[in-house]
Amino acid sequence: MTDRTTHRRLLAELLEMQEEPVPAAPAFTEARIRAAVTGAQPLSREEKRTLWTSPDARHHYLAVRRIVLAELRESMRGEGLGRAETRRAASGMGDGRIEGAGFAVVVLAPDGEGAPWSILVELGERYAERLPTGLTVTLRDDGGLVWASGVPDETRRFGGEWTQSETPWARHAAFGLSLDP
Amino acid sequence: MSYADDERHWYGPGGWKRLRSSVGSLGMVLASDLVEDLRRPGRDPQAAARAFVERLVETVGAIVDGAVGENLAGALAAARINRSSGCWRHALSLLGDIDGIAGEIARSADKLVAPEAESPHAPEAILRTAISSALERARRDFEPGSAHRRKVWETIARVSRAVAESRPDGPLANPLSDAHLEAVGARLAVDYPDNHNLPRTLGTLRAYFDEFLEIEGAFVELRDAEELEALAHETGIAVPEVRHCLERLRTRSAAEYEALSVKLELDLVEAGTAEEYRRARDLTRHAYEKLVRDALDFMRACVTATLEFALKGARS
Repeated sequence: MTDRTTHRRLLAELLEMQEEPVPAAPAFTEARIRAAVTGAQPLSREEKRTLWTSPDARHHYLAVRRIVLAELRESMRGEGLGRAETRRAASGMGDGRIEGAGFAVVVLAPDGEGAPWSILVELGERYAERLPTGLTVTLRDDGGLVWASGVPDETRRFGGEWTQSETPWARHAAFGLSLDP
Repeated sequence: MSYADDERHWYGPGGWKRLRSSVGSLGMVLASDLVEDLRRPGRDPQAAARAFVERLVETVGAIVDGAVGENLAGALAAARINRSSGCWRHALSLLGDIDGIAGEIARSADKLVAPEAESPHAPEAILRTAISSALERARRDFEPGSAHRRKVWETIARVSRAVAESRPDGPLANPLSDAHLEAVGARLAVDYPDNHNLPRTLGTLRAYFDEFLEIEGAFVELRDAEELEALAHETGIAVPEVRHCLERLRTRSAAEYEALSVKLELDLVEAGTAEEYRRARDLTRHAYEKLVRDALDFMRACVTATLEFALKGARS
């Protein structure tokens, strides 16, 4: 397990144990959460505080967020967006590009010994149009590994460093990719 | 009322899955008493299981009333059970049929007292499954529609297992991946062409997996961690850094640092399982759990302070 994964997992455990605020935080309604997740009405400063200080409020928010994202993902899949199938012949060692439905993944080889591979995701116009502003998207393979995750910038891109010992190309030879909100 | 608001109304914040998981975790804290009781010569399994469920109900009641004794409070803290959650108020109504729940647990009595076979976690897993299954049954009384969904899920789960086993490279690590769900959907369409109750789209299939699939450990924890990171992006709050808190913990007490790593299986140190660690350090269970509690208290305070700092600087 990488340091980063360990730390994130520990953080989730610690936040799970936060004492609920007294008096109780105001409850979010499903409609309010939907409006926030879809970008129709951003969260206020006080609502953000509630999300980070009340496990109950956070659980509820994330439960509704999962429903909203599942609906969005389903509708995007229905439009043929968000998948890149495996490339059995993918065995390159250098830079390259994976074309997905509605997006592309640019794979950059290490630029020196000990340097990591880099992953850059570029959303196509159609995908970007369907994605509510400010929502996190995650590129994950069918083995469950997250390749990159982030909120796309104004050029519709986000990226990250590759943390695995096997190369992205070896991984892609075994697993297809999904890009999902 | 919409689906999510409805879930919240009946099962508390986080809905059904969180409630079931919380009650299951509480059951684990009380499990050793049950196993000891079942091992008494001539002890009737149903009576032992009933005593266990009564204790479970009493404990939930004590949590709701804020009347948990010091010893139990320590055990709950070490098991990372959040007593302040509003979900506990919703648990009592599901635990009304004490004999029914006890019957479910008593049916697993032989397995619970069997000598530790392959895994020291086996009895806990068996008990957690029995509690989950009993709660699912109680839920059916609440929500008649859930009985139908449960039946549909049993068919999906059977097909999902067959698909996973037939994969040449072994089952996919992520059972919620598109590739697995698509394969399950395709197999359902072939095996049950006339059963219109079965889900046909990826989204509806995924909803069943989300609702019913009991995924062990790491996968769910990882998903929780990823969601927190997404929440940080979307709220503009920097994810609290635990690295420096861990460093401070290590400086303060190496023993607490090690115990935390062992308890949460963080692999920060090479110390083996909890049993191996306790034997090597000559620690009683009580002393080990105290180390864990103290480490968790320290880490929680440190992360809270970091989070407060981030919240003060948050943009609106």
